[in-house]
Amino acid sequence: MILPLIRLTALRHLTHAQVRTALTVIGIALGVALYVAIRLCNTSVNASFRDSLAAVSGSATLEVVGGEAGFDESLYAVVTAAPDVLAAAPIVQRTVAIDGTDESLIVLGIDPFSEAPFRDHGQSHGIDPRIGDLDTLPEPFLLNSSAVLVTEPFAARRGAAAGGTLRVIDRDRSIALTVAGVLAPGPLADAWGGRIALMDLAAAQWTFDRLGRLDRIDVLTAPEAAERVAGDLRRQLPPDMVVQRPERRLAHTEQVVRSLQVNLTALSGIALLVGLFLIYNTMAYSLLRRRAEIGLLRALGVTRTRLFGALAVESLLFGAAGGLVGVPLGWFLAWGALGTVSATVEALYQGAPAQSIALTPGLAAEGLVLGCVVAGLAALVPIAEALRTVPREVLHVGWVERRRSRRAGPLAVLGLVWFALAAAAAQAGPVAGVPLFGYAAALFVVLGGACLAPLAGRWLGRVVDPLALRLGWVEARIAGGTLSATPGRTAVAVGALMTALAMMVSVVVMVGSFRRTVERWIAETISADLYLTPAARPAVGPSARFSDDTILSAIASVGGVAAVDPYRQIPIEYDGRPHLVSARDLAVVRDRGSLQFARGDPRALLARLAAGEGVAVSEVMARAHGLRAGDRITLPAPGASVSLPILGVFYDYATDGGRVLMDRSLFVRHWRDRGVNAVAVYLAEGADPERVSRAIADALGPSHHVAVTSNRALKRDILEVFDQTFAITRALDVVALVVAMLGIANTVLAIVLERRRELGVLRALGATRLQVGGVVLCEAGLIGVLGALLGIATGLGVSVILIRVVNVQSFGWTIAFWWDPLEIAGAAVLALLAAVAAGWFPARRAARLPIVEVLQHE
Amino acid sequence: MIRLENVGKAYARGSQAVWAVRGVNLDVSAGEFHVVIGPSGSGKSTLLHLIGTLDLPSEGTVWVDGRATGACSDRVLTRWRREHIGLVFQSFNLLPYLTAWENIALPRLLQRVPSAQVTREVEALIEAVGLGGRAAHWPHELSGGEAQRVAIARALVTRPRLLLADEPTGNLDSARGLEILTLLSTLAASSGATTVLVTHSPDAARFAHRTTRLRDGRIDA
Repeated sequence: MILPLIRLTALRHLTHAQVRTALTVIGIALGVALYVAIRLCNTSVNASFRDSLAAVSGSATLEVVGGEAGFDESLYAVVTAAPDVLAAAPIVQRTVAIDGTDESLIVLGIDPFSEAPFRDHGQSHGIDPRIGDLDTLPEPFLLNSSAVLVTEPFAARRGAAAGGTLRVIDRDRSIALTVAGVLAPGPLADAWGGRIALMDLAAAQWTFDRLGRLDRIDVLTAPEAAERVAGDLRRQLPPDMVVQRPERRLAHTEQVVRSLQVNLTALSGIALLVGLFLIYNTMAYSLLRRRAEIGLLRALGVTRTRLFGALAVESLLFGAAGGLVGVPLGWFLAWGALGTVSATVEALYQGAPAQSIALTPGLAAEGLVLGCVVAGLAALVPIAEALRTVPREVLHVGWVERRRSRRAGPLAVLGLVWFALAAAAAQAGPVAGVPLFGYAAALFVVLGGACLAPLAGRWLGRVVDPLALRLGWVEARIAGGTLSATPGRTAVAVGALMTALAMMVSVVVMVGSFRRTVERWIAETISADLYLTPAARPAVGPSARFSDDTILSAIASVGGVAAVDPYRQIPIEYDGRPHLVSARDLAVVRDRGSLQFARGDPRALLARLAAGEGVAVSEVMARAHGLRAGDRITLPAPGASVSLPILGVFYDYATDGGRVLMDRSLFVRHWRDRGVNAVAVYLAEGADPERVSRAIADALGPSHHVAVTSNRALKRDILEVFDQTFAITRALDVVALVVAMLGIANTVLAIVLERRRELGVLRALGATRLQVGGVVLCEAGLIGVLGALLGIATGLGVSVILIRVVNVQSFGWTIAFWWDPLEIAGAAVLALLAAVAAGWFPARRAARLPIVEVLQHE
Repeated sequence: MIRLENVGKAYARGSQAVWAVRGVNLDVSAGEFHVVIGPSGSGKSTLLHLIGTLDLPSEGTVWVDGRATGACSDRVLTRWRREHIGLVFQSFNLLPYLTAWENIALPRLLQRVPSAQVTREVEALIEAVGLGGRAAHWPHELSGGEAQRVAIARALVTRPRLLLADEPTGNLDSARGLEILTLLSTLAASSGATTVLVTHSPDAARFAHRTTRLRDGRIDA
């Protein structure tokens, strides 16, 4: 019996109200599309990481890695001699920049004799695929100390043919490599977007100043023996060396980008939430108009259960249709967004470039199910309400509206309950590092705001009524009267717009606060006049270092240079998580620059740090590991672990990983590393930065390729990266607003359809088409005003949660709350314009209603 | 005041045209209270819509105050309707979200008349239709008779030259219906408005200066 019921009620209504059906389906489709697009981008970025790391690691079950300085190659013998080690391959790995570009190239120095069990190197052109066999390698690969094998995509992109020269920048030195051959497509050739090259181990050690040293040893064991072998190796190798499964590097990487990805997914969910309002609205209106039909069906003996089934199927059809449109749309959007997301991940985390989008059946099904779940959830309340009504109560829409409007008070109380729940959820900590309760608190604030919509609508209507009457603005008076008498009618559209605007306001405030915090931070901490980095840095990232520290004395001796602050940064693992150790000349920082500390006098703290009394940790690290000033921290250093006192906690927005800061003297003492990644140069008073830059370049000579950035340019670059990082969140805002516009258009259209007779009467009484259209536009405008007011209030509430809870639990940064009233007013005006624009089509339709037809029809 | 010359109105039903009225000739003089009587489906309401400029004839000409409605633009007809026609419907057609007072004032507000003047006019009409004390009520709080009084007051608030009433007693019991007809004829007479009232009830004929009978879209001879 239910099938004919579905055909006669659900399908008939969907096809009858084509415009409204289309608006609803598009709204759901956009929500699903956004979710699918972000999921696809995240999956693609992760897959790119995973595939690249897997290809480089090959079939290794374990890897032995040292710090940035690498380790002595004699340890290779220790590893190969360990029991149950089936094979071991020594590796030297160096990331270089292609000269004159921002493109990086990962050069793997391999021992061809050890490689066969590990990696699929594909086939070099014209030779046998077995790279482990000497006969299969191009002759120059072994004989020429600068020979490399490059990938096909790279060769095509750079026009690198066998026998040609490839000029790269290693740190600050220009090197000419010889292309000995091209690797055919394969997992290794596809890794890191093809930006990988192979070199003979000895040649790599020679070329990259790694004589006698290795960066990694890949180890092959029986799978079941891996843990045992790892334990054996840890006991035999120096303590600063890490023996781990290759997957651990992937876990580290995924852990690092997870916060960004969770945040993007959560933001994409907001559009779905707006879509939920849309479905609720559509079903509520549809059922409101069909109460007589429902009553009749009930009177004819259709049970509530069957009727519920038929109506539920109707809502699910909305969801399924939205999902069917949304999934391919999401795939399409993902192609557009991939570049931005991938660039952000590359810029922030030096990740592998994501190149392809793979829509799996699983994700397509996820999008489809999500559309159905959202539609089903949203329709539950309207269906339950419609089925509760007994047939004799089915009088007319006005009766239902009055009953609904009586609920405005209780709903407002429910709103306050949501706010209280939000406050409680905001106190809870993260779940597995994800601020689930923070997101829940943000959702509760939005739900609370939505519950206030009917009461706020009534109040707004009451304010508008007399004002419009006094002004003789009859259109506004009618619209205000409708709003105050039937706030429930427009509440859902208000809720949709409010949600979209709340998201926009909260993101604007969060990003604005963050930007301002970062602006203040860079103004205080970036105080040197010039910054020197190795020329490879733009392509390689902050890990790029100068080839030696003799540049420091050369720079210091240049006329006009007052002080030099060498900057060194190395990655470490602390408590199972990746962090950085940074070393600077903190006496120079104390005298000429500054740092922001959470507590204590910065100058006094810097003086103690400069004296090598201890270290400072970034607030991210302090939060992540519960560290405080006065604690001791044990760090892995070459040869032995070092335990140092923590003197203070400093603010650091340069990385969302943790950082330990110490004076260069302390670092050199324990790490025996005199490397330099960047040099901050303070000029003497009156010195001309341009002239000093040129003099420094001359002093360093042609053997050092450096990039010189002025203070202002560096600050600008940092803020550019910042803005690029948040560009996608702005795009997500816009989609949510479009979904809300669909909601308003849908609602106002429903109002027009439902009030055809009233509008017809107005025309019969002499109202012009313009006046009737004006009434509809005023109603849309009032929805806009209400949505804007509630959206701003709710958005500010959500922004506090984003800044104080979600951000702190995701990234660990302290962000000072700040908002620009003009920017918020701009968002409100945008919402208002969106509402009026959404009302345009319904207004036109209302103005063109055939008077006699609507008067006779009703 | 009103002249209908061989007027017909057809509606499309599928591919066929169905004539609601056809070959109607009618003259209504200024100040006349004219009643059109006919059974359901005889075309009374269509005739009233044609006279009230809500609809245009498919054939023939409707002259209202010397101008042919078919030759006027929608803008002109709307202005004419706003300034010179008062309409009373069977189902009152009050706007549910305006009070009785505001419903009466609505046509004047649509004309952008200053609120002080509107207040004076509405107050006077509320007294005239006997709605003192009910002005601030919402339509759903009024009885059928009261709602129709509000509708009559709304129709008269612009001091129309033409008052059109479509089955004004159709939703009322006979006693209330008689009260409404009495009120309508009294106010029409005092305002000097030409009135056309269509009804299926022969009782209304006794208020008429002249009566026309309509059957199957044509005037009974």
